[in-house]
Amino acid sequence: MVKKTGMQMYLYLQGLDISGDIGSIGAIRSSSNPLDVTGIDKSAMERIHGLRDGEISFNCYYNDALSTPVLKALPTTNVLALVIQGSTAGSATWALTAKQVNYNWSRNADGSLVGSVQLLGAAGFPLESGNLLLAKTTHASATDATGIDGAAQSTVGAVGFLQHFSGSSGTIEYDIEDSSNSTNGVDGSWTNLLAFSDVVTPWAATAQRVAVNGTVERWVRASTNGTFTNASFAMALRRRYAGEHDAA
Amino acid sequence: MAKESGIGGTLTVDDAGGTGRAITNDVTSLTFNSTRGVQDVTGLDVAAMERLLLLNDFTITINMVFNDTTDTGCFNVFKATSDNDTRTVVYTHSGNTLTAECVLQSVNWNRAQDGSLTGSATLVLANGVAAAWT
Repeated sequence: MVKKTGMQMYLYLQGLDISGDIGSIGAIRSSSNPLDVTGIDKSAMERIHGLRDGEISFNCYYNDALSTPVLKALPTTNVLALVIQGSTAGSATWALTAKQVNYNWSRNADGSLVGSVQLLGAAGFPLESGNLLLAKTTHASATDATGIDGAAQSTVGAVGFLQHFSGSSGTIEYDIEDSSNSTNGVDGSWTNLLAFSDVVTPWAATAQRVAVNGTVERWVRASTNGTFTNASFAMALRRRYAGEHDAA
Repeated sequence: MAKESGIGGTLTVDDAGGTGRAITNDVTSLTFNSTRGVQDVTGLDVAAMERLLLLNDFTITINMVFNDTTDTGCFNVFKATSDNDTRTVVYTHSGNTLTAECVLQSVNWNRAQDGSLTGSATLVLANGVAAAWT
């Protein structure tokens, strides 16, 4: 991999793909507010991490058929945003469980109408960087996606992110599975790493964040199970690193 | 030695696991400040300023292009946010090396309307030891 542009990026918000309505993303921010703990025996600053925070802010276009009805609702509950750089499995992702704190508009002299939205971390989770398991896709029935290679097993858990866009019938079981002995993301034995809550009629758009502790095998994949038709979704995973605030 | 440009410098920053990663080619520009607090101790009996130096500090802001190469790309170097980690920052230029032990204060990515995806990371001194050139 090499240096990349920001073309073909995507932003999913609470089960809605609003990528086409977004002109720019001004901030995908992770911050830690370092605390001053300098002792009197020192001649230079000492710092430790304080509260972590996250932000995703973007400019958007007015579109009554897509993003505007959702954004203008200014929900008081948390929303889960997922930003993706690229569309192939393994691409970088940023997820934030957030409050939407505004929905501002500028009607400019040139006739343009541009909105701005700020999402701020709201659930005790910072911005979470991970990898895409599957870009927005539709499974007609239960299917296992091709897995991605994490290069090695990790031991301090992971966090899965689901963006469910729509479904047609049945009960959709969304899972993330892992494997220690796959060689290509398809073969080998796979077991369930974490399960999202089932999605049932009316299969409304939704998003979920599910954390799991312990061992995560080298290979991971998105999987749909159950009896259903036409599950449209995207999925990402963040492997925790030793020392992170939620490593377990 | 004559006056020099900034061409040819290198930058290495620890990832969350403590392994130094050379991210030089991902970095388009950087700014670092080695500062010292100053206390005004001017007495009533003098006609010009008297000052004492206080705590040393160091801040570096790194501007970069998105690169998610496994382990060594700047996205992967800065993506994990360990609670107790400090990052060794090493900048070299023309045979001189600046080293500082820092905490990662913030990482901010910007997908601009022209299609570019760039980021900035800010690290601040962490261990009570002033950044030093060798």
